Parts: sequence; structure tokens; C-alpha cells
Amino acid sequence: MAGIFQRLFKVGQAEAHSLIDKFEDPIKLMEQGIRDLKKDLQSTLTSLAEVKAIQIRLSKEAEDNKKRAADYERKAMLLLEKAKKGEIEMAEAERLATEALNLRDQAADKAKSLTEQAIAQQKMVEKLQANVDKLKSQLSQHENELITLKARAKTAAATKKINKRLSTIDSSGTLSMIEKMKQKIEEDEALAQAYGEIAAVDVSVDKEIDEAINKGAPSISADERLMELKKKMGLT
Amino acid sequence: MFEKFFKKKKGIDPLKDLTLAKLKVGYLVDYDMRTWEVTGYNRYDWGGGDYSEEWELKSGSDTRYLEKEEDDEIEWCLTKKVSIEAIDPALPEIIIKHEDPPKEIIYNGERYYMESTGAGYFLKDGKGLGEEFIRWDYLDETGKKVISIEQWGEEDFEAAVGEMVEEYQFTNILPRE
Repeated sequence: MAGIFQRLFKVGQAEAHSLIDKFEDPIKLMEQGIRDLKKDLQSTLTSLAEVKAIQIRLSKEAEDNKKRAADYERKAMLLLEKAKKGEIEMAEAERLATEALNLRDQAADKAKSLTEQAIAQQKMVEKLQANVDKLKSQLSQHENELITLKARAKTAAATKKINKRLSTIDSSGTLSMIEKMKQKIEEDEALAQAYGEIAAVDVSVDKEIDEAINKGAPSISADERLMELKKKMGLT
Repeated sequence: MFEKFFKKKKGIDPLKDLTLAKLKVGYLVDYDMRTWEVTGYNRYDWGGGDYSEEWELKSGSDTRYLEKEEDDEIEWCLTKKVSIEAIDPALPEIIIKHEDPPKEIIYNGERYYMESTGAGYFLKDGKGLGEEFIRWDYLDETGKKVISIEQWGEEDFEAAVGEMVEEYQFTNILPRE
């Protein structure tokens, strides 16, 4: 029992697929596929742009902190030099120089951390870039295929139309009708010929009979027939 | 009325719309092994329906200006600002005195020749009535290197140096929302 239902389901499924197949336009489906891919690519590009922008910002901040660290070191040295020249007190210079060195270390640490983050972000950029390149290449390939497919579909549609027309002409019986007509005409011709032959046979039989009857009878000329008529009328 | 509500937002075609001429603020573009962010867009009105466009590009602490000029064909020029004194310290005085800079300039040991001059309006962000200015453009013997000198008002000068570039040199344009 279950087998019957399963078979019925399969039949229904096959019919449904067949119906859907009728509505499916391969070109339109492919165009939709390309549109979807473009949408995917666009959002991937936007993500890549965001990640890249963060990477650029991190690199710039890392660079700024490196410069800041170098600047603090330069300032610390300047303070010590000034103290050496006696322009400021050594203790004060050392205190400020120590502060400057602390700030230098902070900036250097920040630069190091930012550089590490920038490197990690760069790896992410490369990964996303690879995806973007792959999607772009797929998309270009599909667009080229679509152009070819469109041309092929047009040719197929035209061929289908011609073949259908040809097959319709044959099956509608135009050719067989012509054949039938030809046959009918030939039959009519044959019939006409047969009637002709029969008629010819009848004529010759009558002719033979008349000839046999008239055999030996004197042949009257036209003048003689005129004289005979006048005589009958009493005109002579 | 309904069209306004149901109008579909037209997305960009990532294969066709990401071109140099369609750069927008926020976009990223690769040039000379570096990624540049578009940080500004301006227009120059040269009169008679003649416009040129300019995008400000930033990479790290560097800023460049990419200008698109359309004559018989599209020309791209990439410059960076320099002080007018870096070209010639005497230039401002010469311009004020003669109302024109010299026909030839020597910069970094290379000779540049005045190519064109024009007065126009600078439209910040591509909008507004614009600010009037005069510009003199110079090209070197190869026709590749560029210097431009601008006068804003009576005694305010700006200068830029750079080169003519080709669109293919700019790659990987990335949009941002």
C-alpha cells in the first residue's frame, strides 16, 4: 500500500518538476544568478573596504606613535644636553628626561601593539582580497558565458521554430493531402480514360451495325434527294 | 507618490561602476603599491560649461590630488601640494608685479614650460557658487611632469607638483557605504 502512495508521490513530483521546467527560462535564471553574485561581491567589497580602512588607520596610528616615541627620546636628550650646558638644573633635567622616556616607552608600546593589530588586519585584508578576486573572476566568467548562452538560446529558439514549422507541415497532412490529390487526379484521369475507351467501343459497334444495314443500298446524292422532295410536293 | 516609497535603491555594479571617474568620498583605491582613501571631492568651473573634477586622496600622512580633465579625451593628473617658495621663492613677487608668472620655471633642476592659464571657480565638495582663482599650468619637456600655480585673492598663492597618470595605474577600487 505504501508503495502505491510512494509511486503516486513520485508521479506528482515528476509532473510538478515538468510544470516548473516549462516556466524556467535558463537565460533569466542565469541573469538572476549573476545579479545575486554581484550583490554578494558588492557586500564583500564593502567589507574589504572597511577592513582595509581599519588597517590603514592602525598603520598610521602605529607610525604616529613611533614618531612620538622618537620625539620623546629626542626631547630627553635635549634636556640632558641643556643640563650639561648648565641651562637647566641637572636634577630637573633628569626628572623631565625620565618622564619623557616613560612617555617614549608608552608610545613605543602603543606603536608595537598597533603594528601587531595592523599586521593581523592586513592578513584579513589579503584573505578577503582573495575572495573578492575569486568572485570577480567567477562573475566575469559567468557574464561571458551568459553572452554565449544568449546567442545559443536565440539560435536554438530559431531552429526550434523552423523545425516545429516543418514538423507541423508534415503532420498536418499538407504533404499527404497533396499526395492524395495527386492520386485522386491520377484516378480521375484513369477513369476518364476508361470511360473514353468504353465510349469508343460503343461507337464502333453502332457504326458496324449501320454499315451492315446500309450495305448494298444505293447511295442518293443531294440533287437526287431534292428532286425527290419536289416530286413529292407536286412541284415538278 | 508610491514610486517614491517603492523605488528600488539602485546598487552599484561592482564590475562596471567601480571606475576612477565614479570615485566617491570614502572609497579606497590602490596606486603605486599603496592604498589611498578618497577624503574629498571638488569641482572646478572654468566657464562655458567647462568643468574639471578633483578627488583628494590620503594614504597615511600623504595627501594627493587626482584631477580629471575632459578635453578631446580624458586626462588624469596626480599632484601634491608644495609651497610656492619651494618652486621659486621669488614667484609670488613676480606674479604680483607682472600679474603673471614666467613662461618657464626650473624646478629640481628640470625645466617646465607654461602650458595653459585660466581663471575659474573652485567648488568645494562640488557644490556652491565657488571661489574665484587663477591657475597657471606647466609641463616638463616629456609632457608628463606637471607644476600648477594658483592665485587666490591678491596675495595668496598655492602650488602643486605631480605628473600625468593613466587610469589603469589605479586599481582595486573599493566602495564604502
